[in-house]
Amino acid sequence: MTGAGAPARLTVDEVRVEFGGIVALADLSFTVEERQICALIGPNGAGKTTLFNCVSRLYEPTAGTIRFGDTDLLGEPAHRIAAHGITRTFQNLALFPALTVLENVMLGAHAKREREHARRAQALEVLERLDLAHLASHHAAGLPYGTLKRVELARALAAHPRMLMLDEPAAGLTHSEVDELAELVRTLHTELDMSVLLVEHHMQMVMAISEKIVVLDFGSKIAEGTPTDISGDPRVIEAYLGHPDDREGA
Amino acid sequence: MAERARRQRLIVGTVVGLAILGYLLWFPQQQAPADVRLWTTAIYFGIAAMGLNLLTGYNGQVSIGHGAFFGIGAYTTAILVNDHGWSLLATIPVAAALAFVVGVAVGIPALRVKGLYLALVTLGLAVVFPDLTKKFVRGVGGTNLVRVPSASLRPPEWMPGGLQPDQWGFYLALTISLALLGGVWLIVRGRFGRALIAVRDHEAAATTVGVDLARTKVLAFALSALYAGVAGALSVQVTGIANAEKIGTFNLSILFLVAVVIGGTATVFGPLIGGFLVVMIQEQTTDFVADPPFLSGFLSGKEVLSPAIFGIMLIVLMYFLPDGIVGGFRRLLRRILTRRQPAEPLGASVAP
Amino acid sequence: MTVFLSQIMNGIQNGVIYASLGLAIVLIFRTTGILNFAQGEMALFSTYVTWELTRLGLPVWLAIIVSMILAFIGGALIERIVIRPFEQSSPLVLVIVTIGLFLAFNALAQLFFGVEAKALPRAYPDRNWLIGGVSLRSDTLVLIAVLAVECLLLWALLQRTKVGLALRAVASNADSARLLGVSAATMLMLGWGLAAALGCLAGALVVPTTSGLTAGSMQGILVFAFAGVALGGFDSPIGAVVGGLIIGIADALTRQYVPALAGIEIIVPFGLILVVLLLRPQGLFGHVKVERV
Repeated sequence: MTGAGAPARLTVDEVRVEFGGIVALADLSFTVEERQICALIGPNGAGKTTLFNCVSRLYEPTAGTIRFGDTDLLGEPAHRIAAHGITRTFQNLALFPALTVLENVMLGAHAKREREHARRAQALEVLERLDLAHLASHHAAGLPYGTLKRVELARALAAHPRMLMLDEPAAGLTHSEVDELAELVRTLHTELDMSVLLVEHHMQMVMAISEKIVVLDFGSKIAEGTPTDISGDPRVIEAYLGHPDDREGA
Repeated sequence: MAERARRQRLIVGTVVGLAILGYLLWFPQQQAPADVRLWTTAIYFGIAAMGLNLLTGYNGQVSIGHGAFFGIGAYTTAILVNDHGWSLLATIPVAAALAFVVGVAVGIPALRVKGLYLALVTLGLAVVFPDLTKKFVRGVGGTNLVRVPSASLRPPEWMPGGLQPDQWGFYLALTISLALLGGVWLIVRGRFGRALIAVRDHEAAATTVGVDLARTKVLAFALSALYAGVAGALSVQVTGIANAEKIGTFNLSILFLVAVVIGGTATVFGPLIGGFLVVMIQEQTTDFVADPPFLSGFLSGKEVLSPAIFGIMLIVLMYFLPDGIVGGFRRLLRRILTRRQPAEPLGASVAP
Repeated sequence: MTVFLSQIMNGIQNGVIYASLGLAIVLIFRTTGILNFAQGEMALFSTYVTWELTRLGLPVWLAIIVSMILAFIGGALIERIVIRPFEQSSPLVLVIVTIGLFLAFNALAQLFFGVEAKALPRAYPDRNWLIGGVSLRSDTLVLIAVLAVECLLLWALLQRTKVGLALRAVASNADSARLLGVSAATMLMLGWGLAAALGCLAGALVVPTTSGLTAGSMQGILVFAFAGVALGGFDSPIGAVVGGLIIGIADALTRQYVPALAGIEIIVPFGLILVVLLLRPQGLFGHVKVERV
């Protein structure tokens, strides 16, 4: 599969989000370099999904800019983000259960103008890659949770994104499923020439695949660096660093 | 396995469809004009229901105001024919276009209004429309009733066969309904159909895959209005008039919604079946009450009972077939088919 | 100025009627999550019962009380027999069911009581006072008073009693409420019964001020009551009252002062609703449902 365009750098610059009196993101700045796997971690409520939603243009920042390559994302309407090559998955699984698995994945490429049969062929290709082709005609419901998460991932891949955003992809998966997922993300990242931004609580997976980790707490960045930097950083340890079980296995 | 079942269904469906079509083509030659007109009514009802289904079934926007779009189509046709001498056939695209435009105008503010609130705003449409016609339409004797000359109901010269107006009306409606049915089918199985459903089921996810919410929802409104407008235009061929009064437009709007639901929301054939049922059941319950086979002392002459029976039937129908006729039929098929073939094993790729 | 005030009074009187029916609609929505299309027709049916009772010799006020009790029982039974089987159904299915009820009640009312207009006697004398040139009718006062009492009692019930708490719990989350020992079944029936009684009262007080009780008596009111509820917010009793009043007043003022809209005055209330909903999609007093992504 060839990429729809060269990967680009995501620049989040002094982004601020306020809901009423609550500051969800406080002047956050970081970058995701081209072809980088970057993880956003932090305690619940730290603002990770809020940042995602800003990039997706589902939320409007109070201040700051977000650039992807040359494009000012904040000047784009939400439905144009996919056309710029940014796709995502959701924390709480956002599939369309009334449609089949194949149709869900075809929707992933909605922003691309192409003939139906080409779209179907490409969607099947993605399903093949993720070992889901046999479920193509099945409705995107009534399947095991891990399978549904993979379908959502397939949908996010359907348009050959330049940057893939994964919101807690490991949530609800068993230990071995998480290992499989980590391996899958790593493979896809290499083969599909894209950058990956993920929000994740599962420290094992974060440490295993990330090239850069950005740590948030109460809407601010408190640390940034490689997995080694982060695991030793006292501020991060103080804010939070996963469950003892996760650190044991790392 | 699944492919064979699909092909089997396709073959059976085509044969059944052709048989029905054959019957429908032969039908008007054999029946009394009143019956032909009744069936034509059922057809244009189905057309309106098809359009509403696109909006409500596939796109999740509930409207109880489509009687207004129907009325726009009816009045456009009646006025063009009666006041400006157009041929009825030629007015149909105009009625469709006008209804479409008004549909856009309604669909845009509807973007901000959701769910029940939208339903009530559309109710406003159905309530305001009759008053608007009373104010602005110059009909018979200064009322808002526009009657077309009976000559205009005759088939056009290029149409062979010496058809009666009622027969012509039937074939016209049938042809248009098949074309519009094809339209629905193409929409639903394609990119726009997926977008409609995606917007209905998860707006945020739909946005992130690139679906333009506003365009999708407004287009859904406009298309549904177009279908209702065409139905209204066809109604003039059947009744010879265009008329709107408060209760009438409101009733129509509700009946369209009923047709969508009892036929089966978000199905291609459901609305046609639902439209047929609504028209026929109303007719039958009126006949039944006028000339009942039992309880004749109590029932006969009490025409007012017919809506009561209709209402009770609706409730009973919803209890046994909540996903409509087509939905119930599908469930039945699935039960029959899975008894003959074992279910396919799932989740072969789930982690051990 | 007096004309203006008179029209305000007119508007208030009508608005109070819309508010009364609107309260019943909101009550059912708050407790069972359903928009009851049949609310007006249920009120109609109860009003016919009231008329029948007066015909049998009961004094009007007693007839009203008795038919309110009967309406309460009837409403509860309707919930149990017709609505409960659809507890898990989709909103669209429920809309169709209430439409079915609407058709059935309207027809049955005509069936049992005949189609000629009935004269329903008043429960209180018809008097008129002149205050500063503005005529004040006893109708208006009574309707306002009754509405005020209804609101007070409803507020007290919902916010200050155990039963009210249970009602609100079931409305918010029936399953959780059941787990806590609340009988959701009873609460649902209670909600419908109360709403039916409210509707009955509204009908019995309104109809004598019109030209007679007919099958169409409640339909216009229902539309305006829905309008008021949409304006105020579906889940807000205050909204039903304020919304209904605004609709009534807007309508009256339009009829008086905007002759250009003669015949289509109804555009104003609905236009108003549209404007409000565009700015506040949940109505004036409604609550927003937050969806977490």
